[in-house]
Amino acid sequence: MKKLFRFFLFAALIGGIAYAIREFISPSGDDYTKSGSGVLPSEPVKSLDEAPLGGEISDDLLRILVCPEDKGPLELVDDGKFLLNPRNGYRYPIRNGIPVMLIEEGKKYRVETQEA
Amino acid sequence: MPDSSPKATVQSQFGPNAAKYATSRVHAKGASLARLVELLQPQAEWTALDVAAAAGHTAFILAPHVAHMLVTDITPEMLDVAAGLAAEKGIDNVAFEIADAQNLPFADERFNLVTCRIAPHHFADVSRFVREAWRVLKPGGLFAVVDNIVPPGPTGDFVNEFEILRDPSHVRCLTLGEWCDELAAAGFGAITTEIAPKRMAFAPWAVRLGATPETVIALHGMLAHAPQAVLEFLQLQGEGDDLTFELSEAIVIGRKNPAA
Repeated sequence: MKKLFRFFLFAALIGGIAYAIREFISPSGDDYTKSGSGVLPSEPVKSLDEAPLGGEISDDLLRILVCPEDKGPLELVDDGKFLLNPRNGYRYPIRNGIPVMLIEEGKKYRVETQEA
Repeated sequence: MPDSSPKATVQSQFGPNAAKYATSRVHAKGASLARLVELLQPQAEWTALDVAAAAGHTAFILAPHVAHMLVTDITPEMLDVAAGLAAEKGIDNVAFEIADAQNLPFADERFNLVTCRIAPHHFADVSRFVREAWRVLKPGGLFAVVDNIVPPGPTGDFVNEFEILRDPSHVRCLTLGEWCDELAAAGFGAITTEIAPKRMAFAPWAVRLGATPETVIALHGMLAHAPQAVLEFLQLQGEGDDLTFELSEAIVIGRKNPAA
């Protein structure tokens, strides 16, 4: 048992050293390099998931936005952070003023509603 | 488990490559942009929607002609680039939404114009997208699609396979006949079409979406073994770094209830 423990300790040490050397030679940083294109975007592109919730959207836009699933009207809720479909509880996040109107996003932030 | 649906493939393919589309010459200066405006004659009171807008080139050329321009894409990073470009160009009548072309989040009969340029070949269900466009258009509204088309039969299948090898988010380019059928089936009338060849430089085209060197070799291999009909369609010229080929781009326009 003690031998096994020592072996793991040794393996972890070697792994750690290997990682440190690799990071020193080529820092992993962002994942763009994974595509292996050799041609990278001129500036890093941020994921919208990291963008803050909320932001202004116009009344004109609110009037024509509907739930992409049942095509029914939505309500601005949670201090303007989400658009709620009161029929099924789907909540569509607004990030940086851009409504994210994907059914899977609506489901992800779903809440229990009286009607649902 | 990684999501391998066409939508997820498009998001993962275009997310990291979003910035390349702001400067890609074919997309920014494509002759179809100016021609689209000529054909559509957008009016000052119109509300227009550009679906799968990518970096927003189509939306930005239409925006100065209309009252409101709505811009959607399924890839948040693409819209981020588009929003940045809009601010840079001082275009202030545009609004952005993340949306799926096949499940549009808009009420019925709200738009005078729906456009979609060089994107439907990524859609899993083109028929559904065309029906959605019909639904959100006002009676008399115009629907305009610009996309690469392929010849019918095995030649077109080969060209699609070639595109899929370079870009796994490519689903299928339709033939011109299929586009006309799609529009007619959704209820569009007064359908008009235009085709223009566009010459592509192979090297930048191959790597724009992050293809590996192995994939580029495989693409060359496909060309080396392409059937005669495919070579006639692609019209290869030059060699090595100077290799170019031709793709065929169609503009297909239909009107909802032409009599209305």
